[in-house]
Amino acid sequence: MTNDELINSIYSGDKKVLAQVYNQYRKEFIGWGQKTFRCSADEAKEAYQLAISIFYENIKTGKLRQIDSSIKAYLFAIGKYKIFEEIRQNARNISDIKMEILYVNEEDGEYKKELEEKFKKVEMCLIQMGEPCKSILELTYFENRSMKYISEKLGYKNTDVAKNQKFKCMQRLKKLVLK
Amino acid sequence: MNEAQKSEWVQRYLEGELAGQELLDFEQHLEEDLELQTLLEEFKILVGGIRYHGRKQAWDEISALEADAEANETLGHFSIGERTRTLYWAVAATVAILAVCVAYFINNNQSVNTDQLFADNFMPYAALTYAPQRSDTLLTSMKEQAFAAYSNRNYPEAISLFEDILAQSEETIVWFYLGNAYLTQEQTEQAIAAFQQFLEADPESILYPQATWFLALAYLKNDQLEPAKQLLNKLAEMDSSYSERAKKLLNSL
Repeated sequence: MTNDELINSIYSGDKKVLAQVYNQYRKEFIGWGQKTFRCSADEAKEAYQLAISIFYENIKTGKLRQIDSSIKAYLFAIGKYKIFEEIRQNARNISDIKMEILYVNEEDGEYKKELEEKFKKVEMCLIQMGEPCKSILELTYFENRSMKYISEKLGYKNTDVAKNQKFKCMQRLKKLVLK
Repeated sequence: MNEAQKSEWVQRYLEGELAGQELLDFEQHLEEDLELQTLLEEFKILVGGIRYHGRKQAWDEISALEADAEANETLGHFSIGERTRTLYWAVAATVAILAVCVAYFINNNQSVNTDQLFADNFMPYAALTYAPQRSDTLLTSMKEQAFAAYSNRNYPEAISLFEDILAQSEETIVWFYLGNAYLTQEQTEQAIAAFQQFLEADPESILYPQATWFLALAYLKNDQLEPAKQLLNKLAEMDSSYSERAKKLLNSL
């Protein structure tokens, strides 16, 4: 499979391909991290997990559709610029880096402690709502899928029906969160 | 415009659907309309929370892959650089196997050595996602303590703490790790119950294949070959990284 085919498979939800990619670059990345940035094996392992997590998320959200160079180069670039250099040059530790990415406010790219609480509450309510709302909202706002895709995937008559359902779900979610 | 209409407008704005004049109208109204501003802030949090949830799920999947990779490492996939060590191990293993074979002939009433198979295949699953972070409530810090004990291989304490947590709340994931902890102490009946509980409570969990694998191992250790084989067959058919392992184990049964 070419790199773009691999990315496409992962975008379509192929877990086996994801596992393959994960195992393919792991050892090399960890060795490179330890050697080049002189971090511990544990730190390098965590860094690899984080790098792949970012890679995977970018695919799932539709941000990464194709790669010009190679998956390896992409992963190593994330490793170097987002993780290892932060650790070495700015003396950050990896858990802080993870927290920031996990709870980031996407507009200004800033991490705020209050956001952590709020996001967790929203998540709880989202899970509480169950289907079909959970899927509709995930597909709309996390995976950034089109209404056409969503209505086909979830079996709605047409996009207007799906849109209406999505709107209702958001209203329900808001009600639950503000309770 | 009533609240519902404003809500819809805000959502379309957040989804990037507004353009041209409509977008300008929205931005203009935003400056003057307090209700619109509040709605926007509220929906931004909702969207942020939904994205956070999606992100967390994706990260949990990756965590599981890391745990699998570490399990594979320790179960001994030797790399080319360790050929000499492999040779010594091969010799030692051959001697050990011969000794075991002799023991079989002398004192054997079982055609399958379930204890050996269990020992060869069981490795407690790493609790990577639950590495202690900041704690806000009492339950979170109990969870932290429990997983810290688990990660430090202090399984008896982990068992006790996990049981306390489950007495207080419905933390499904705890069943999974409790089952692992029981297996390390060879409390197979309890392990079987724990994994069954987990599988029943969360059949959509990404750890479903792992839990099925561990339940099979628990049955195996408990000398219940039929249920073990059933589960392994199920795994072999699943589209999972555990299919190969399951097939291999089935061949030894």
